[in-house]
Amino acid sequence: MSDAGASVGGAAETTIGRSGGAARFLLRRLAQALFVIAGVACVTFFVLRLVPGDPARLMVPPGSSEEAVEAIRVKLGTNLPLLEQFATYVGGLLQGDLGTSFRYERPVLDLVLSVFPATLALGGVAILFSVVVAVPLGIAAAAQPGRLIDRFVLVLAMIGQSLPNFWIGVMLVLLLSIQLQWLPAIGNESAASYVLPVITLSAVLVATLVRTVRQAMLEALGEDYVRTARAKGVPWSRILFVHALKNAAIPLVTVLGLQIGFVLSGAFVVELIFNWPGVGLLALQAIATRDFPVVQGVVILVAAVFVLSNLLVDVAYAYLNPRIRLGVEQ
Amino acid sequence: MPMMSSRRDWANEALAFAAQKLRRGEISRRRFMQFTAAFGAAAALPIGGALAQSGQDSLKFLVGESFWANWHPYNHTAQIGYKIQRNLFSRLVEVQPDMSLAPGLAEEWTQIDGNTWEFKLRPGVTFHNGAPLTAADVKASIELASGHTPSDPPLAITANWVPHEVEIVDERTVRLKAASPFGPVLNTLAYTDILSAADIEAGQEALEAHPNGTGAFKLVDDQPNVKTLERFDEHYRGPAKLKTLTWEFIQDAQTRLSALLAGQADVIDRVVPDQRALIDGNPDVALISVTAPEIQSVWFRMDKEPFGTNLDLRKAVAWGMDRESMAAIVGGNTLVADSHLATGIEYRVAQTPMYTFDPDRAKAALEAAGGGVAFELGAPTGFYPKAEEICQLMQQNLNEVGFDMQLTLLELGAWIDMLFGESKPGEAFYGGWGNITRDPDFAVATLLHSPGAWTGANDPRSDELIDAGRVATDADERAKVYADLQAHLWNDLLPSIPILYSDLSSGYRANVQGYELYPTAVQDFWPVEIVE
Repeated sequence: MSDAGASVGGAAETTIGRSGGAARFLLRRLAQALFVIAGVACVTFFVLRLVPGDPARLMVPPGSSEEAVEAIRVKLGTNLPLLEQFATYVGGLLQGDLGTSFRYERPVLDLVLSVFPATLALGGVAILFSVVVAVPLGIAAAAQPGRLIDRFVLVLAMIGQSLPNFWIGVMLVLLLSIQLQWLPAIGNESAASYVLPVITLSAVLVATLVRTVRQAMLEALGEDYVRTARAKGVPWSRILFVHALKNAAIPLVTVLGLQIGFVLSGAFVVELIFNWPGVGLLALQAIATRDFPVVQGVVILVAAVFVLSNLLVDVAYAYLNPRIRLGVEQ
Repeated sequence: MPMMSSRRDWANEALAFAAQKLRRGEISRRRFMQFTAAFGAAAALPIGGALAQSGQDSLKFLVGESFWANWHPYNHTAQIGYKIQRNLFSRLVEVQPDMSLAPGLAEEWTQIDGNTWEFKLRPGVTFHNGAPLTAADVKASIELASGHTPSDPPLAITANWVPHEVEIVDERTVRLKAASPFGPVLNTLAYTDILSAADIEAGQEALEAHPNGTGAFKLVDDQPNVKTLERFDEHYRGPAKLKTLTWEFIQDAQTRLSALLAGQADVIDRVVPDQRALIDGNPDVALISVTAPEIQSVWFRMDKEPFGTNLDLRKAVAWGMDRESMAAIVGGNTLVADSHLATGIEYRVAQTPMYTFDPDRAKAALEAAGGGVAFELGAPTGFYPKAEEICQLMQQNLNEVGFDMQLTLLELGAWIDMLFGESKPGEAFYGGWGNITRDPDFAVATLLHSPGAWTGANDPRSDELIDAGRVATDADERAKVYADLQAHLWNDLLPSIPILYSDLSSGYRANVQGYELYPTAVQDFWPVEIVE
C-alpha cells in the first residue's frame, strides 16, 4: 500500500466522478466485461455440443425410430449445421433472447430470472454472514497475536478451509434437521431455511476472510501511523476500528470480490444438498437433460455476475483508498 | 416431531410466564424485552416438520424423476408421467398392488370373440370440469391411443398400445374391435387413461397443457418441479382422504431422505439400498419394498461381431459373471434373474441352468468360441443403483476367465447416445428394462423383436414366438408360447444376460397409512391418509 501511495505522490485525489479518467475506466472495463461474457457464451455453446448426449434422443422413448428422433431435432433446431445454430444463437443474444428451454418450452431468460433471486438471496446472505463473522474475529485475533483468541481463530480458519462444503452441509442436516429437528433440511420457505445453507456456503469464505483480515490488520498495526496514534493517546478501539481497519479493508475487498465467483459455484452444490430452488439446481437439471439453452443462460448469468463483481471491487478500491486513481496507469 | 413441539411449547410457556411477571411488576420492562427477544425467536422459528406438516390432510411426496412429460397421457414415455396420471385420470380396468386387475371405469367386461371385447361403464362418473363420462369419451380416448384417430406428429406411445377401434353400443356400453386378436388388451387398458372427447377434439396442445380426468385428484398448481393436486370430491370411488397432495422433484437421493427424516416430506420414492438402514433404525419413518418387474442385464449387440454370431461367446460371459454377488451388491429385495421375463410378469417360468458363477465352464465355453476377445461394455452411472460397482465386478470376473473387457462408464445422456447412436459403438451394454404392465409382450417386444430391437437381434424364432404371444388371447396358449420363448431366449439365443430383478423401495413417515408400493410405475394416493 505504501509503495502505491508513493507512486501517486500522495496526491490524495479521489477521481471517481471528478475527471474523465474514471468514466473512461468504467467504459473500458464494461467493454471488457461484455467481451468476456461474449467469449464465455461462445465457448459454452461449442463445448456443450461437444459433450456426448443428443437432447432429442433424450426426449423420445428409448429405441424410437430415427425419424422420430429427427422430428424432435427439427423442432429443437439441433438438426441444423452447427454454425447455423450458432448464428441463430448469437442473433438472439444480440436481441436479448437467450433462447427457449428444450424441456420446459419456456423462454430461458424467464426461467433463469425466476430462480436467480433465490441464488442471489442465498449468496448475498452468505457473504454478509461471512463478513459479519470474519471481520470481528480477524480483528480480535490481530489485536492479540499469539493469545488464545488468535489460536482459536486460526484453528477455526483451518477447519473451515479443510472441510468440503458438501460434507459440512450433510453433517449439519444430520445434526440440526434430523437429530434435533430444529431447522429445515430442504427448501427456502422461511428465514430458518437460510441457516444451514448459509453456514455451509460460508464456511470456506469465513475461513478465507478471517485469515485475510487478521493478516492485513497485523500489517496495519505495525505501521508508523499506528505507533504515532498510540503515542498521541488515541484510544485502542479507535486505532483498531478506524485507522487500521480502513487500511486492512483493501485486501479484504479484493478477496471478497474474488470469492463472489466461489460463492456462486459453491451455491450449485449447496442448492443440490438443500434443494434450494436457484440457478444451481436449474443448471444441474439442465445439464442432465442436455437442455443446452438453459445451461448457456445460466453460464452467461454467472459470468456476468462474476465480471461485474470484479468491476465493483475495482471501484471500491478507489473509495477505500483515495490514493488509487481509476483510469490512471501507475 | 415431539421434540419440535416440546421446544415450541416450552418457549411459549416461558413467554407467558415472563408476561405474568411483568404484570405483577416482578421484572422490569427491559428484562421483559430481553425475555421476549430470546424466547419469542425460539417460539416463532419455523422448523422442519412444521413446514411440511401443514395439516393432517396434506401430504408431500418427493420423487426422483423430473417432471419432463407433458399432460397428454399418450404423448410421452416418462415413468413419472404414468405415476402422477394414476391420480389424475381413471382407466377402464385398474392395476392393483399385486399387479392383478380390478374394475375401474368399467364395472364389468366380456370377451365376445378373439378380436372383440365389450365393457360396461360405471354410471355417475364425472370429469374434473364437471362433464359426465360417456361412451363417446371412452371411444375417443381409445382410438386416440390406438392411432385410429390421426395425430400429427404421431403420438409417442401408439406403437405399444391397444390397436382397437371402438363401437358405442349404448350410453354405457362400448365394444373394442381389433383387426386381429390382441393378447395384452386388458393389461394395456390398465394404462390407457380415459380423456374427455371434447378435450381430444380441442387438440393436442390442449391435452398437453392441462389434465382433465376423472381421477381422485385434480391439478391445481403446475410448477416445473412441484405439482399440487387437490382432492376431487366427485371421484367415483368417493373422495380421497387427503385434501392436498404435493409432488415435488428432488434429484438427489440423500436430500430426499433428509427431508423425510426431518419431517419435511411424508413419502419419498427411489430409496437407494445404502439408505435402508437409516430408515429401518428410525421409529418415525418406515420402508416399503418390493421386487420390481425390472431386469438389469448385459445386452449384446446382436448385429455386430464378436457376440452377434457366437452363442458360445455369449454363454462364456454368462458362466463367467458372479451374478449372485452382483445382486448382493444392490441388496434389499433384489433377486438374481432366472428368466428374460422379470418377476411379476405373467407366464414367467424360471429357467435352467442358472448360469451360476463357474469360471471353469466359462473358460471351456470361451475355448469353444475360439478364445477370448476384447470388447467394450457401456454402462450408465448415477441411474441404476450400484451399476458402476456391478460392472467393475463384471470386468474383474470376465477378464479373469480370458476376456479383455473395457468398461466405459457414461452419464445417462451419453450412454443413451452410445446405445442408440448410428455408429453403434461398443459391443455390449449394461442397462435396465422396467415393465409398466405385467404383460410379457411389453417385456420382450421392444428389446428383441426385429426390426428395431434394442439388441439389434434379428432372430426369426423369437420374432415368431413374440408375434404368437401377442395374438393369443387364450391363457393356456399364451402360457405355452411364452414358456417356449423364455427357454429359447435363455438357452438358444441369449441375446442378453439378465443379471438381477431390481429392488424398489419407498420411505414414508410412520403416520402415513394406506400407502402401497406398486411394483410397476404407479402411485395411487386415493386410500392414503395421515393419522395422529
